[in-house]
Amino acid sequence: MKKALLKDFLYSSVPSVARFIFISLWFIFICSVKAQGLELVPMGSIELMGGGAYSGGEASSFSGNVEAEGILGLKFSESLSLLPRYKGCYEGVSSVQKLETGKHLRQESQDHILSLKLIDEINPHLVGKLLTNYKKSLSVEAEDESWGNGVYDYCQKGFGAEAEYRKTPIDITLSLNRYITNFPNYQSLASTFETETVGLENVGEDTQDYKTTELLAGVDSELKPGILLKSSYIYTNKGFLDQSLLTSEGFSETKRRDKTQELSLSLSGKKRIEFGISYDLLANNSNQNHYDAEKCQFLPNFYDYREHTLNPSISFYLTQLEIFLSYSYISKKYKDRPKQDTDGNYQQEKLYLKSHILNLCLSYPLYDRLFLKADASYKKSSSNMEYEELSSYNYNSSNYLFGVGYEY
Amino acid sequence: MKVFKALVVLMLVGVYGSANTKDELRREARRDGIREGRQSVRATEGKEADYELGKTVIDVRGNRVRIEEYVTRPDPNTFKYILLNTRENRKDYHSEKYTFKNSLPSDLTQIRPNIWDNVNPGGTIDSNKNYLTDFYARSSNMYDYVDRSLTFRPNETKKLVYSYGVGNPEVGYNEKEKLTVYAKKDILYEFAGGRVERDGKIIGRLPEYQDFESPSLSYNSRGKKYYGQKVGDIWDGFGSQPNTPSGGTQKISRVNYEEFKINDQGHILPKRGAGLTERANRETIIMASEFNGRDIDLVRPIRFLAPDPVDGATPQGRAK
Repeated sequence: MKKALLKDFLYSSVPSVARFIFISLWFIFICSVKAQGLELVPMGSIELMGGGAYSGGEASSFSGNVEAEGILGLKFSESLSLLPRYKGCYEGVSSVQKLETGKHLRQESQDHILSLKLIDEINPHLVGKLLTNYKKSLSVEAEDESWGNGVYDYCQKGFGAEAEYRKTPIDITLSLNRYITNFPNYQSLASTFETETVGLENVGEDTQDYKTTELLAGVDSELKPGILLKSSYIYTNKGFLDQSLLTSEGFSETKRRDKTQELSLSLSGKKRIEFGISYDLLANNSNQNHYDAEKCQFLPNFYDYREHTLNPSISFYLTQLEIFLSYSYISKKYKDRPKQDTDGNYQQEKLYLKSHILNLCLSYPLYDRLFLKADASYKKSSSNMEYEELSSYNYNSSNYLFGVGYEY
Repeated sequence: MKVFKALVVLMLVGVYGSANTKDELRREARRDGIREGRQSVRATEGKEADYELGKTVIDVRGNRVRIEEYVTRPDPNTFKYILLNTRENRKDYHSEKYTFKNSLPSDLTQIRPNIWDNVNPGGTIDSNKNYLTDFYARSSNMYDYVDRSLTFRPNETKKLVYSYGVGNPEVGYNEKEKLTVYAKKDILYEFAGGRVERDGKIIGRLPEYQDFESPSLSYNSRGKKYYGQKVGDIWDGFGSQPNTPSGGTQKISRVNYEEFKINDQGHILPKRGAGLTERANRETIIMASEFNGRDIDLVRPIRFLAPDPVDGATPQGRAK
């Protein structure tokens, strides 16, 4: 009964903002009870960048990105801190390519995140943390969309707990996060039509909404002074609230569930040059299938894939100029999704995608904590997919940004 | 606003918090940022899958169109293709229902490429073979509609009957074209002398003449180029020279199709091959006199419907 009430409180009946405020007040109450004093630790950063992008030989117009973060650390005692934080960003891109009606394609987004973290140093080696967060993401991608009614707008609210064990040279982290993601403007079309829906009763309505449980175990270890080995394993269980499972017989009552496992290893060192190399293995297993209505083809395990990422990087200084250079190789192979020929016919071979990404970041201090920043990246993507009428699989793209950043 | 000002003052004064404390808390904030990044990636997976599968595109007018396609099986002999489109302020749909003489396999890939193969108005049908007996398609903006239907009865006097028309609740169903194939291989194209009935009353005559232009590069009503058009100017049948444009005394109706081959961003793609039959996002805007200024605007990732035996025919009265 108590469990059900807690679940109801965290996920459904109470408005999300009220929930966030309630948990926040509870955190503050704990702090006030245990407080021995108050030390304020304000921190923040702001970044103003402008730039453009190229894709498939087409260039976008000049666009602006803004990112700001404000944190007011509240240290109540040597062991107890509270970390309220806001992060907001705006990304704007307006393609120079006009539509046939003379209008521009719009692609703008803004994200707002509020989080509150309670940090309690239980003993010199063990730190306990509780977290709650709320995120609102808005996007505008078409002429008939405006802020707040974008199809893919979403809000996320969650809570989590973390334990960190620190004993030089090892740092072990265990965390559990649960969050829910809602797409308020996205409902399946089958649920919104008044006609032609016979046989589609089980499709579901809020097909994008999901609940997630995320488990993380990480070990950081300092092999030698300046040489750090990091490893982590993340298990994510993404349960869709209203997306029915599509079987060869039609829609079933069972809901879609995606399980992701991610294993990361990284080695970094710092002498005159800071270097790093990381490897990630991501495996996604979904019970959802797909039906290609045009080909009348049932495609089982459509979303199952393995992704390998190798990412070496170096960072060094030329006088005051900090240079960061990284390269990523990403290989994604689908377990059962077949490739298609240029006419869309399914082939025996399974689909794969490969990407090479080169990234260069420059940072130069102008004054105190004010930095001049530049960022450029190039991506080359290739695949055995020949059917590119719906989506591009073989393309090159690049983007550049430059501007200023201030960190406090 | 006061909170914001206080934060700014605190940041500018910067006298609070030791460097160690700040580093420690900054590290925590960085960890949160990484976790939020992971959660953002999970949140955009659905959107990326929709784009990849062509479930969301931008149309030629710059508006977002969401697309869902389904195939249902109302009974063992029948399957139905349903295309649903929504934009911010409108809904459109298209459906095609195929009924066969015998039960169909559960795996429709076995019959999908050969739907029309045994619809052979001029020949005989192998009774052992399964064949299409009824076809019905409707395109609609939830009010106006365009209907196409076909019945195929190889052993009856009227072997094949094809009908095409438009309508809505205001004007009812106005048949524009009717084709009947008889057992003796006589083919009747009913454009003139036919009857238009509503509620059992004869309210008019079918048109004398229809002018369908071939698909070609052209310009639409907004002066923008598009690929492929199918325009029907429909004349009445009371002129002195029947079966020609001059034979009619007035245009009684017009059905206009604008066909666009577009990519997901709404840009018109270069025409390749036959244009109308190749696979691509296709946007079809259908206008008719009966629609009173409204249109049916459908975007589908591909052309589902295989060419039927009536498309491409050159019935009497067609000038081109």
